[in-house]
Amino acid sequence: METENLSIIQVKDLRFAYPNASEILSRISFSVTAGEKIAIAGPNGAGKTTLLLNLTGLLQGTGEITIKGMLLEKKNFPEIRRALGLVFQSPDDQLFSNRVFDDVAYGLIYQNMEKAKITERVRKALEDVHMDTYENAVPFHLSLGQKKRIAIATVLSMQPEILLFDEPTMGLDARAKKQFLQIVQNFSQTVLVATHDMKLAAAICDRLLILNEGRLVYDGAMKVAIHNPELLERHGLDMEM
Amino acid sequence: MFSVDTRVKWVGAFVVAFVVLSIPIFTWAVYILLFSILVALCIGSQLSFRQVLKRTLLLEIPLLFILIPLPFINRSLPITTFSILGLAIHISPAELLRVVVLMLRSWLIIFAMVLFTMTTPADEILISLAALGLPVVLVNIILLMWRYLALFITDLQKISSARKLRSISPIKGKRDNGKKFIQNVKSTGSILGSLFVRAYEQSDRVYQAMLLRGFDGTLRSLKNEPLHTTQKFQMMIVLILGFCFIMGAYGIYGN
Ligand SMILES: Nc1ncnc2c1ncn2[C@@H]1O[C@H](COP(=O)(O)OP(=O)(O)O)[C@@H](O)[C@H]1O
Ligand SMILES: [Mg+2]
Repeated sequence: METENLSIIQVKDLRFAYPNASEILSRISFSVTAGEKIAIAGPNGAGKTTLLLNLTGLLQGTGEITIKGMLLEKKNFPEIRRALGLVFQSPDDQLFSNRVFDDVAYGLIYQNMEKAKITERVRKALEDVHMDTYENAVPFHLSLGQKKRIAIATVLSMQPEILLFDEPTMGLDARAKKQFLQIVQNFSQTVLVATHDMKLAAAICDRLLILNEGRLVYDGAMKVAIHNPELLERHGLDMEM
Repeated sequence: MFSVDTRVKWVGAFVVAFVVLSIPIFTWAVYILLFSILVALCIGSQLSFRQVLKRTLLLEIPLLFILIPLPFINRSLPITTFSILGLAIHISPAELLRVVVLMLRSWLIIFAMVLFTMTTPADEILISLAALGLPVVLVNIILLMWRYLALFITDLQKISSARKLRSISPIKGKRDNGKKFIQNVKSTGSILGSLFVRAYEQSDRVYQAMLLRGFDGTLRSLKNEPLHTTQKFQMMIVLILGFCFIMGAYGIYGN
């Protein structure tokens, strides 16, 4: 019971199925200690995105999820969502304002924060992702790498304790990938990264969860897994790329 | 103009409309004065005058169709009478002039509105509307529709350029025009279908992203704070100016 109190995320027997479809997540259980950096790897369609959405409460399966000791249910949503930020796979899903500043400020405005403080937080978040000169840019017009960084800033500005990333380097070139790495390596927060880019996962995370066909097939040290090519290959992963 | 508070701009646009509608019909001086103020604002905001003009004309044309019948249903003495297919048609100069002036009046109002919308992001216009008393639910729906539409249009552009790249332009002289046309209609149909699905799914995710960041059905904006004294002052000036115009117009008319 001791460990349970220390864990910031606790997932017990999570099952999930989309309406009129077969089970996508089957009996997933794991727990996360504050400050851990964890990769959730697995082939396309394994259920990584579905798992992340379940952690935010946007999708609700059966089983029990607690975040910071709070049961993930409707009455706790506001507080849990303040503690947890999700960066979507496609930044176009996350950016919808006419100005970068407004997008990054969006969540803060809903926290009833004062204007001066909002401005300060937005500037800081944009600095953290090296986009501080783009305050007045139109998000639509930016490159994918820039959009992804702005999307991260929209979440960072809210200073969440837990950061969830869905395929953060998908579609990025080598330089943009490196920038992303540097950004995440500076985080002290708890980080969960869903990806099938094992190289990225190994660079950021020291723990690995492998998901395949909705089952949690590996939960252990990253170091062990990357020296086990047979394990990786069995689940459609490899260290090349 | 871009930096002026949206609510002040609303007042400005309404004042222009009110002045134009309430002054006597043939006070040319006021029309010209208003027109030059609007042009000055347009140039001051670094908008392309031609583009503004184009937009106003686009809106004016439907009005033309409403106003055109007016000279024909007159009571004053006609100058010309001619008949088409046995129907007698009269045209009177007074009515013709009235129509021209009415067009001009409506055009001035449209000009002010276009100027307003071109210097204000759509979101802000809507949010300020809520601040001015429009039901929040309505504004929310329009706002979400607006975002949905923007997503839809970008998707449309992406797909249609992807299609252009893939489709090979027909070689001239080949006789397959009919087939090509049917093929085009078919592929356009399926593209539209998949677009709707994509835009729907994406708007769903955008909505999820909003929820995660605390969206609770209410509308918030950084600009949505109480009016400052300067803004109240600006509104006052606009109102007083409008009042002066109306008084001036009646003065001229009285002479
Ligand atoms: N909205 C949805 N409705 C029905 N099935 C879905 C939906 N979204 C994803 N799926 C299915 O769920 C499975 C897991 O998807 P996902 O979580 O996106 O996998 P991953 O992110 O690991 O690629 C896939 O088989 C996918 O087809
Ligand atoms: Mg996914």
